[in-house]
Amino acid sequence: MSTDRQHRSFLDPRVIAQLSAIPLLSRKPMLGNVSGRHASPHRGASVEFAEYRKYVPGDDLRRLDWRAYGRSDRFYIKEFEADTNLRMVVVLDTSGSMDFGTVGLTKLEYALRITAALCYMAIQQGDAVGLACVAEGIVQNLPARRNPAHLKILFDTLEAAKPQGETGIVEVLHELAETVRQRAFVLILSDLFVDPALLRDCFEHLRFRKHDVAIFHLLDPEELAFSIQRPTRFVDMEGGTSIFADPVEIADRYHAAVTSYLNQLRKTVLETAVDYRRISIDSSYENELRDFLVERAIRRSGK
Amino acid sequence: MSFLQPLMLVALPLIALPIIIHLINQWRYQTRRWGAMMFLLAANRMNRGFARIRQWLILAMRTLAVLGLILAVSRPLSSGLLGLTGGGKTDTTILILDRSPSMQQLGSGGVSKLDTGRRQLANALQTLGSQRWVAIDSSGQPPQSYEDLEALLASPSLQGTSATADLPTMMQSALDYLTANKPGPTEIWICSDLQEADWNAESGTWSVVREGFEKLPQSVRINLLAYPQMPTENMSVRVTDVKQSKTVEQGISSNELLLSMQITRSDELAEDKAVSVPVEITIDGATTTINVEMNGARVDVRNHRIPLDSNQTRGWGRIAIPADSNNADNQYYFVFDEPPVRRVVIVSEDRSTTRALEIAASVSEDGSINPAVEVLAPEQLDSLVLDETSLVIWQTRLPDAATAPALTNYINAGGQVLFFPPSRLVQSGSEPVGQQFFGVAWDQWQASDVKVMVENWRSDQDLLAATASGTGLPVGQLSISAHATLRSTADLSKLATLSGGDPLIARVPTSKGGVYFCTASTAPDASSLAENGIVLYITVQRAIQRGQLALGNTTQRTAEFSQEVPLNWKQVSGPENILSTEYSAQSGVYQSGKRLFAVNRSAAEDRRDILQDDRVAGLFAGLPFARVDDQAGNLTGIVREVWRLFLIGMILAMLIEAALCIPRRYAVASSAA
Repeated sequence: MSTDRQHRSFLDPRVIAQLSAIPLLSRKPMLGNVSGRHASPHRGASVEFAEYRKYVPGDDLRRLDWRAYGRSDRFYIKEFEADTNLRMVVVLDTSGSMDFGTVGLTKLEYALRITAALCYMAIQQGDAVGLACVAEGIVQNLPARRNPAHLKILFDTLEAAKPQGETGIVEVLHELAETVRQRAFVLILSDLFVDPALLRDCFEHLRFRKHDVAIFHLLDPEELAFSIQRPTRFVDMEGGTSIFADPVEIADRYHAAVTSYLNQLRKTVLETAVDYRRISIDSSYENELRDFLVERAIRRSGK
Repeated sequence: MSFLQPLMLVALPLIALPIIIHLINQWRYQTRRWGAMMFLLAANRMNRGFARIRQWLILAMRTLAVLGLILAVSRPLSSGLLGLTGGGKTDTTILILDRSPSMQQLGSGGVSKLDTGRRQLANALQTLGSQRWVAIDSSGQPPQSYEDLEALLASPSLQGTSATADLPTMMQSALDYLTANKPGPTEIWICSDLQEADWNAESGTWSVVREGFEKLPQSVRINLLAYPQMPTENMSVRVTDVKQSKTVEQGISSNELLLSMQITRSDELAEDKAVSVPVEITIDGATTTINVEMNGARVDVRNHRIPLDSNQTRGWGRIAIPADSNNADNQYYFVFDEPPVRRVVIVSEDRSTTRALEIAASVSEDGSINPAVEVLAPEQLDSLVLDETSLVIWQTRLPDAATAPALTNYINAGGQVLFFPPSRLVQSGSEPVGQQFFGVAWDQWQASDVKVMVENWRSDQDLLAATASGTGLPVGQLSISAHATLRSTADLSKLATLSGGDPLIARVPTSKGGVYFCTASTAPDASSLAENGIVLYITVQRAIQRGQLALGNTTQRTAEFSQEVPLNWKQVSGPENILSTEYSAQSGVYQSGKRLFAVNRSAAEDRRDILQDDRVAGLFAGLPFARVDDQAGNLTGIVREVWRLFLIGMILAMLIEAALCIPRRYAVASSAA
């Protein structure tokens, strides 16, 4: 499908081939402009029966259910679900902290692989894909397009993403909630090093705008274990002040802070119905993506 | 605190090792780029309370562990309530042991202060170690060196005695020893109960000793092992007088001993109700018991009559009370005999001059026995018999070659001679040159129109001493019109000095007996000696008493270490297993030829006066001095090695450090996922 023959370091055709059998489905009805694989809030011409309603003059007679008329001598219109495509907006955190990685790749590199695979799959199934690279603000913003040529622009943008600056994801999410048309699929890839209380407001804002929000929370295993043994001067990757500390001395309190943060974040995503996945970047992104897609597909079929 | 291996203390700076390692560790930090700064900031905000001091505690525990190890290998010593300073190898250890009767007070377990002190010193000195051991006793003997501690402590010369200790003299002996032998670092250990009588804090010797020790080049440390606790339940007994009384009534002669005694008890006991004290009286081995009722702290029994065999004229005895907390003062020995004849020989060339002396000699103190006074003219000296003579008054030319040997023998046997200037000096103005006796010769008469007064005199001892009640003799009231001067090669001891410096009464130093020179005549026109009367009478009577004591066959002696050890003494009664060289310091009855001696503790030993702490400290002011107070019967050593405590402390510090270092577990991933 793609006309892009250029080699991308974050794109693995083998992984895409393996995941291609699993559709990327939204959890909520989407408002697309063409037919697609996702549920729409409107009635349409799909094979999925929706409901009966009484005939009113002007209705298309082809949709009149003659069998029901024969049984009841009344006119009923037979309605079907509409299938539409979606607009997927990928919010990629490119702040300085995303450059951290102790397992051979950084959090940003990990995020790029997930983003590229999902973009490819979305374009392939006819969905429109947009991209917002976020640092202190929106560094790069690509509006959602569904034509395959857009995929090259996406990949070029991803390839050009550089981790630097502080995280302004809270402001960006509020901005995107307003600027993106309603009922879009918002995919966030970030380490989310911000106050969970601020994130709650963002998620509620997105939810209010009827967006389907999914989060890939990327963390390095070292950030969780904090198993450094020597006194260390920690330099803030986002340009803040440095801290000198003996990790052995403060490890217990560090762990307490991490635990408290994760608990608050988990509570926030549950209360705001966000599809949240915490990922340690030493795990296989292929497995993480498969789980993500399968889980969403199961939810859709069970609806 | 002292240490047996103080050199190991040079390793003390090693306690800074954990701190240095900590600082080096801090200095060798790494720089790391970090994304999750919000968690680090949160952790820093939580760094309060125990978490903040935990690292400091760990550092402190590591430091303590090193400190405990260094102190343990330095072999620290504990010494009861007071830490003994010092340390280092001691070259010489001098032991000064108070062996007075008060040190035989029993403590818990029936162990005396002396035994407890000896055992404590044995343990302590065994621990401390020394190259040489020296013991100093009160006997005036030179300090004795021992090769090892066991030999020193087993020495019989460190057993208890009845003599009052003389601490100033013993310290002087120690100083003399150190000055003469110049040993290296020296430790002096004094073991005493701080009784005032033993310490004699008023003695001028203390200041001399103190100055002497300060000038010593080597390091000398003085350690006092004190047992100041006085007995709470103790009684003591002593004989105050013993006389023999022979009476004949209705043709029946009776012979009795009049015994006066005094029993005292401690204040705590005196508060109790009246008690009956059984007193055991032993006369020549035969024992009787009487009960003495006591209501207060002291009771005196006067002239208790004990019948004697009618033929018995002399003997010995002992009184004893039941055992209590100090058995050394529960018995008292005495001897008795018929009083010797009070015979006075006056050699006078002018009886009118010596008339006052005749009168003074012929009336005894109590008037009971009138001495026989024999007056001889110089021409009658051939018939001079000095046997059984209490006093010789010599008022003529000094003895010549014919009479001098007899008189010298008399003096060497303890006789007393009182010389007065011959009248002929007044007439001729000179004594024949070379006529000396005991290195003294009469020079010439000094007469003046103005009467000479007595400027000063010795009221503390000898013939002109104050009375027992403390009243001084009226020597200052004497006025002398003429006196003879003396020419002496001997070092005269002036008992009374006239204004101008000439002596009125002088004593020639002799090993035994008394040789006195009175430079004034008793003639009324020469002095007021006869007119005053009191001074002359008391002087003569005291001289007679001294002569009688020398003549008598029995003597009550106060236990003391005597330079002249009576080699021919034989013990009649008294404690067993004592050194014959210490007979004079051990209570008991001894015999030397015909003479009997009763040796007893001094009256000061029965007093319970303890030297105050500040006075003790004052005696050693300026000297390296440490004091440990102990109790009789105490089983705990005064000096113990306590390295085990420090080793346990080190282990505890390491365990606490290990516990503090255990990292806390936080199941972050599992709990939050």
